[in-house]
Amino acid sequence: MANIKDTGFLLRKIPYSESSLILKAYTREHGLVSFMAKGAKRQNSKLHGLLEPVIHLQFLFPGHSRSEIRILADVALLQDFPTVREDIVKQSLAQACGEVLLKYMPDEARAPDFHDLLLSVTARLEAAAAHRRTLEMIFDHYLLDFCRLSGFQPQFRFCVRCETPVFGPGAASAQAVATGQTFAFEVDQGGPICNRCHANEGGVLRLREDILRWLDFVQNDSADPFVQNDSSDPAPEIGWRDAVHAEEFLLQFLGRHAGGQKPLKAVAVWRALMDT
Amino acid sequence: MLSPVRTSLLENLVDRLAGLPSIGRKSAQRLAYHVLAAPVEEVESLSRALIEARRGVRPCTVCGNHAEGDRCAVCLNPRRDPAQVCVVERPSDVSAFEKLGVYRGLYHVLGGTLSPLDGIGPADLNLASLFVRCENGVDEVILALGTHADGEATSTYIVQRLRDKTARITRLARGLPAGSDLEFIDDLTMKRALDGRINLG
Repeated sequence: MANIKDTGFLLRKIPYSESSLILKAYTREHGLVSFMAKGAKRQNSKLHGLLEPVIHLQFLFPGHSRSEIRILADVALLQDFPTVREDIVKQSLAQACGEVLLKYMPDEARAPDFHDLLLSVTARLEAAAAHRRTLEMIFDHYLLDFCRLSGFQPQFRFCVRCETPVFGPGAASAQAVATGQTFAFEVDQGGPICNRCHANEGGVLRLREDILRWLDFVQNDSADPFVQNDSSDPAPEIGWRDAVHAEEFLLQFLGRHAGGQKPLKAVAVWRALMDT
Repeated sequence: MLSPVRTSLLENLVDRLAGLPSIGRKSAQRLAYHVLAAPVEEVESLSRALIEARRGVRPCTVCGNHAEGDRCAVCLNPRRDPAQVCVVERPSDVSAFEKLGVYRGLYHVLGGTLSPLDGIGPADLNLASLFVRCENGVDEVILALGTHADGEATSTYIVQRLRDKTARITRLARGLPAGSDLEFIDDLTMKRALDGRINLG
């Protein structure tokens, strides 16, 4: 049977028997694929050193298989990301991005887009300065891109009912930041509700204006989020707790649209590392 | 599939043995039949050894290695050099070093590595006591963690945390295994070996 090649990232390694591994990888053409890597635990296996997360790999495997688990024939290094691999903070975020793919299993038809998104976020993490705010921006941008590719892109600037801005010029409430005012966020329609339109109905999430501004900035104001924007439109300041709130909101939004929120272990580790 | 002639006691024994690492179903059956054929005294002695080891062996309060009292044999040895601490993942790594017989310093056993996908963060490892330990009279910390991604990231994390506390932080050399042929080396190992080449003249 002819082998085929596909590129991707290893997301999960599960020990199987004395010497083998079961792998879950996200590939460009086939989406999420399970592999059996026979003998990969042996020190002299050709597969041994390469079967690591955060390395862009080329997988060689049978084009057709009766089993859902395909036998991995060979693997080759395409691109190494040494800074991400060696920096536990960056690595935890890169693995969190992979875990989002693994847990939310996006549409296989868009596998090339999701693969390219994972490749680009890993490259961004590799190039980025190891500053908390920069890394938060990269992860939030990834989650927003993930939502967009999955077909439920949120927006943060305009009321989903009356379409007026909820902050900035023409906003319904100019004092929102000073008063710590929050806005309702209509999850199904993917946008905020201004305080004139909101009638205290249930089933909405709530977000402070500065978090809305942050998410709007991450989504719209910078094509390359780890590059500082120009001084005329600086990124809003956001504290660590608010950053966690913004991230949690995006994960909740993703969960509500993709079959329920799932705990992400790598995100918990990233937060624990930032706390130390 | 279990044989119909098995008693439930035997099935239970096979199940228990098969739950041990590296023991498959067939090996478990073979061990179970061996136990049944052995003299009762021998089996009682084995079961006592298992229970005594489990109850009597605990983590060393200084380094986290296996110990039968508060401190392990290495930490109790006055001839070991307390200024040198080798950081390893597991107690079995200590045994691997001790087998060599060339290292005269002490150890610190982390109990694993940081692993984001498994949800293992700094609080889940024996890290806090390492940082405290290194504030008092440690001249060199040798990082001897695995060369997998989690091991490397844990090493970097420790370096960041210890930078101002210890005079010298070193890591084991990495590259080609002894006696290997280049054609069988994977791309990443080869790349690292090339990056870490040393000057010979």
